Amino acid sequence: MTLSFFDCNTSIGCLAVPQPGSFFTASDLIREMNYFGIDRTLVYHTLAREYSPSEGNARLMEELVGYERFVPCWVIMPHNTGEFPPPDELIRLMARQGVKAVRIFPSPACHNWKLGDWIAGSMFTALAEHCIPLFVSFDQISWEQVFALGKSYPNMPLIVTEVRYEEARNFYPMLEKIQNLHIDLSWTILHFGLEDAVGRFGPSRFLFGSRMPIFSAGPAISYLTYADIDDESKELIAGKNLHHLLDWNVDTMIADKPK
Amino acid sequence: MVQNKDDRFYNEPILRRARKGLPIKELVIDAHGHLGAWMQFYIPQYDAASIVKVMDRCGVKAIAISGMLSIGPDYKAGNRAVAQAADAFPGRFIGYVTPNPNYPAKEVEHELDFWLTSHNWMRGIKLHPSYHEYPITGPRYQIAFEKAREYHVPILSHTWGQGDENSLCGPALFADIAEAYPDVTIILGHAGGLLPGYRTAIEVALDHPNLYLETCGSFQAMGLLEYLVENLGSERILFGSDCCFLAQTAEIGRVVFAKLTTEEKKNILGLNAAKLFNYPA
Repeated sequence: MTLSFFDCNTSIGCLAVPQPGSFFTASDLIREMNYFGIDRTLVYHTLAREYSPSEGNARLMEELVGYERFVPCWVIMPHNTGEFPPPDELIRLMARQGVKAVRIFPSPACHNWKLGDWIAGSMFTALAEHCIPLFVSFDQISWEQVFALGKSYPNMPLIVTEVRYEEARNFYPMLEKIQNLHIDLSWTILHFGLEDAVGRFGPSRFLFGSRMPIFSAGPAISYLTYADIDDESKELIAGKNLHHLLDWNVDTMIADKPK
Repeated sequence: MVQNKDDRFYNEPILRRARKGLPIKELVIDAHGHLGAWMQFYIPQYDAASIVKVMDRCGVKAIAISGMLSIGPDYKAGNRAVAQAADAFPGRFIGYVTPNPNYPAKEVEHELDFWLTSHNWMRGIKLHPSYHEYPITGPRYQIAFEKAREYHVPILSHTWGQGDENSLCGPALFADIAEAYPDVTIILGHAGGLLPGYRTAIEVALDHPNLYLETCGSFQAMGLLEYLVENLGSERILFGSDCCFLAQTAEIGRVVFAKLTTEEKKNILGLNAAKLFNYPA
């Protein structure tokens, strides 16, 4: 069967440490998506990770103009320093610009802020109110923090990306207890790992992600196409689950909120 | 329409089958596999039958394996398990005998002699300097290279060119060994690990024709296969998966989706390994 891939984990922009085949522009990413057979992708900008979230998000929107196969994902932070607008204003901006998901990089090595309610509570509350998916890389957050976030904000889809293959002992109980938790499969490439995880939790909790341009998309694709799971599960993981998560009602939300 | 450089690879026949999840038809030999459980993480299935099942899905004819027990606490039990798997599935498993340099030299020598002379499918030696916490350049490893020379079998060593492991099995350390044993084929597992390791592994391999690079690793660097082939050619690169550590279903994607010609993929997927392991092509 031919799967329709909607990639939950790509970026554009220059990298401090590129890999031999890394690329940097939106047109490069389109070329690679064509080669790998990926229809659409949720994409953020590397400058938002490695330089400045607000400047990186602005660059993302500039560089995505004219492309229909990208869904922008902003990198966000709490608003306390004035670097970001207050949560309600942020979400109105996102809605106007078609931004359907957000990412955070709170680790000390990246944006260096804590996840506590006294810092980020209003931001997470706003995301949860509109069921906006929050993506966070496994190297940015502990499992204890994932548990706390997932429990505190059950209406906020929480997607942990780049979960390494050694982590099943930690994320299995988490998937059991946190129903809004999802796992990106870009680094979760364990022998019979997908078959086992889907057998226990069903296919709706897992998302296809390539991590291009740092990783090749090839392993993430073949991990799914060669998996011993049914075709319907493959379709969900390849793209339908992500479509569903990004389907928060932007128009209604804009109409409801004062400008 | 003007073609870009990727277009000529889009319809490459091996890739066409992989896109559909169909088993590869060409000879595929996985040069880096394991058998058994591992302490640090959950592996849902780790017996020989589960490995054969996944090999059949991918179209992998044979896999060269070492025992997890051999890399861990009981090297002799691991070697026995590997031989038993090879007996249970004839032609599907090629066994690496794994010595542990921390045990008495006479005992290690006997273990190597026993398996490399008594079992038809034990056709290689596996070294893991990181888990055995012993440098590849140490004198206790010399017996392994001597036995590889005596029995004409390849050696696969774990290599990692970053962090603490670099001093135990960084690819640069293999230059002197390759020179001391020019008639022994040495496979650098993981091709050095990450980008600094890849670079060094290529440099060392360019200077020493008896060094081969093997591709597996959980960090699936974009363009790695193309980078290796561009710098070293396809004749000294081997597909490996690290199965049942990692998923063979994913690791094969590194090769089949690489922007390489069919001939280059055939070399990497199986033809090179068939020569090293004397496996019928």
